[in-house]
Amino acid sequence: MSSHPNSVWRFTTSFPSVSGAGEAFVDAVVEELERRAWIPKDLFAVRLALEEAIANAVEHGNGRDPSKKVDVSAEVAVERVLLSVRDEGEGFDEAAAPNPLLAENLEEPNGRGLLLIRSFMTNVWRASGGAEIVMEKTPTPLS
Amino acid sequence: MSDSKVHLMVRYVDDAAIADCLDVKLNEELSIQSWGDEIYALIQSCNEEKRVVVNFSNVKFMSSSALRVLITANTKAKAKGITLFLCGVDENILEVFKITKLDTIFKIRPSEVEALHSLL
Repeated sequence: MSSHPNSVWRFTTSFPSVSGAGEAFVDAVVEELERRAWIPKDLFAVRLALEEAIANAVEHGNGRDPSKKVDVSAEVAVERVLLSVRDEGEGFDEAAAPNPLLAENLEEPNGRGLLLIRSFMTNVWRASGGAEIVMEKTPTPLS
Repeated sequence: MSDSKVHLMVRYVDDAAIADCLDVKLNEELSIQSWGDEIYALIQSCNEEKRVVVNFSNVKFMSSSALRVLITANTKAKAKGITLFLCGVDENILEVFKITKLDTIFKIRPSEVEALHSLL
């Protein structure tokens, strides 16, 4: 499944909405980025964003229903990674979600996944009526 | 549901219980649940101890599910009059705490020694 470091690695798959089902996909994406010499800080960021997006799709989008699929795709290159995670839910309205940074919400156990995704990735879009999240990251410039 | 692995090694020093996290990655749902259950049980079992120090020196990756456990653990600790400290937090994970402003909720210290000597 691995590719030449100078090539663009494209991969699409789907898996059922059960805990840990997307792990192999996440590992494969991070491995491809490593092969393209992405630094550990950026590998951490991509792994975190992808895991949070998949967890949201499994838990909130598909309600942990194992008969419902999560569709994922990745395009990995030296200069950027583009990731997509889509569930079978009715779509998520980010504007309606509580702001986890407000003082009254700081000790709420849930609701930080999207904040982390938006913080660690360069660009984030919603598609498919909110049921799909598309994330792009460019590597941190070396100083 | 939880897994059968051990996720914490607990030591006791003076008024503190020190819990070393054994996992390198805290991202798998069942593992996080078990890890959380161990932290909750430790807090519940504390009688003389006034501080619980969770040492993250081994941990290199953590998802927001682990944050959820820590927030719950902090609430449980406060309810028992115990102060929860975190130490040895990797710089990438520390960034997660800063982004979420949870660095303002948790007492995070660079080392175990500093956690043990911090004011309650």
